[in-house]
Amino acid sequence: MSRASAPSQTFLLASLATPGAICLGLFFLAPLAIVGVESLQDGGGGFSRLFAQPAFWSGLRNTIVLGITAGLISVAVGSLVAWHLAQIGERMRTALMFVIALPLTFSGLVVAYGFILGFGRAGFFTLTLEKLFGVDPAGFAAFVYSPQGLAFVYSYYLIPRVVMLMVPVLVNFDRNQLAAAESLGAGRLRAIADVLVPQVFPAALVAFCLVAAVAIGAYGTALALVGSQVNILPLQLFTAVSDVNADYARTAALAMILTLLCSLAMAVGEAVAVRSEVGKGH
Amino acid sequence: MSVVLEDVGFTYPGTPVGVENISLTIGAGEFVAVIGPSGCGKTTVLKLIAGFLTPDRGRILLDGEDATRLPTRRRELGIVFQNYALFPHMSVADNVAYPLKLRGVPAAERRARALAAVDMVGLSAFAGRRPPQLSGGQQQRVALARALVFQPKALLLDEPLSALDAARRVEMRDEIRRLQQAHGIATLHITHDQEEALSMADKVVVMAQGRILQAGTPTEIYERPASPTVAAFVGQSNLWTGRVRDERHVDTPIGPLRADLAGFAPGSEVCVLVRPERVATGPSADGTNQFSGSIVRDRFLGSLRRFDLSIGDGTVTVETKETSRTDTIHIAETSIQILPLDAGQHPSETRKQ
Repeated sequence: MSRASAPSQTFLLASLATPGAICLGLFFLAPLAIVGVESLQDGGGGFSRLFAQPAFWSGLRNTIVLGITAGLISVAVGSLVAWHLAQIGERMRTALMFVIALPLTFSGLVVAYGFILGFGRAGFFTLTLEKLFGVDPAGFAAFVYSPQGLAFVYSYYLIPRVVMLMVPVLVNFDRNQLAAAESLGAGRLRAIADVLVPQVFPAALVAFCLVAAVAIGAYGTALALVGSQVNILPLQLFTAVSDVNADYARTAALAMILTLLCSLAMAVGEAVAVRSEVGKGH
Repeated sequence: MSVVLEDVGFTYPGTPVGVENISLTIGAGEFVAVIGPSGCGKTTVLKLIAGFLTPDRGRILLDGEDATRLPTRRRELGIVFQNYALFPHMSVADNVAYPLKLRGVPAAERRARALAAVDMVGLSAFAGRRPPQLSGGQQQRVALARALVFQPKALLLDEPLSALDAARRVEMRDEIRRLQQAHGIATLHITHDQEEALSMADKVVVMAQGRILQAGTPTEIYERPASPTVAAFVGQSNLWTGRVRDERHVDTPIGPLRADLAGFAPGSEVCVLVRPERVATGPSADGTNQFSGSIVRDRFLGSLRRFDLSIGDGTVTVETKETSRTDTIHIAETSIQILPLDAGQHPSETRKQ
């Protein structure tokens, strides 16, 4: 590229980036700034009032537990699915990944209603289990409406995210390394532990951080499934903004805490990704 | 320490592809190269010895003991893979120390032995680096050090030079041979490069379609190929289908040749082999086996010249150090080999360039 064309190239790149920058400013930075300013009104009193509520702390704990639990389930299942996909032919893999990615297109509400239809008190699987094994429908359905059930439901659309992140890593993994480890004296499990796991762990950790952040911030599925029965921060926030007499400073503080939590999880993932790239030494 | 394959056969499930009747001995300290075209089964043989595949038939003996169904990890074989298969998350020293770690060697001794092995391949300055930070040749050396550090029973090399550039490949041939001889270790070297096999090996095994066609010293394989297929695969060759006229003459596409045809019935079809470097330029003293034609292709190869001479209905490839053009050649009787045709084959002027 000639020097003369550099300014026009810069202008072109800036023009292409402008719509994105406007959207980012209007729909992310501006609302975030407004909420941030709102949360600091009356000298940060909103934070004080929020921290003084025991329900906030239990909600925070439940939210973190939900994020970690859903993240762990999703990474465990998603990694196994990705490992399988990495071993099959490319055409079959592409077809299966299309099917696996479908839940990503569903709204959280659709997923929630889908689980109610499947695993609710009158759900297909619940009634089938009752008929086949005499499982109590009320007891079984209670699981779906519990925090553990919520983590299970979240996994439905978190697992595809993990699969999408892990498949390229596992496809690119040179399986001759496992054969080499075995030829050097390692058993199959030892070879996997010494050779495969250290190489895919950073990607799995990045996937965990991403899906944990999604689980921490999600509210649609939880709202449709458990209403206010489970105390998590996104539902606290929903209840607060729905209240016409809401304490806006406290609500904004809650929103900022939730944003911070999600951002922290994402930041850890990004840090791991960068560190992993640097460690490869290319 | 030796490796013996006794009538080994293997077929890949659901396919007719595999190897059949593989009998092969790699003696202690012997360097055996297996060559053949792609898909001939040479890598399958390595995988069978390594334990990555289990034979359907026959036995594999390692150091005299039946290892046919022994798991890979218990075979004590050093393997260098085509792409080296180094562990990118470990340093060079840790890669080399890994087999020692698996054998419970104490950390201090492990490190000392690994560093000694790294030094042996001339990479002391790179011990702390990771494989992706090394060149192809350096990675190859690390793979060799890792494969040798635990004093394996045998060394298996799966086309280890194929990823290197031509200059590095020649250099690494000598390096591998030096290390192999220093360790006195039985070695199987899989390659599709005939020059590599001939220059490195004590014994060369030529394979095609899952079977061993011939095994022998490089000189035997080159000078006395057992079949036209072997002759065509190893080295440059002029191969013509000929019809035996009598005990002293054979008719070929380039004309009648005077040769020793003892044992071949008059009228039978044979394969006539003449190596290009055995074709002499200029007229012969008595006019025997002398031909003239026109040059159809001329290639300068640095230290020599290779040209194709169109004669009669055939072509003769000639290799010579002479730079002057000539359209007359002669072939000494001792330079002509008569081979029976391969079963089902009719090479009719088969030539390998």
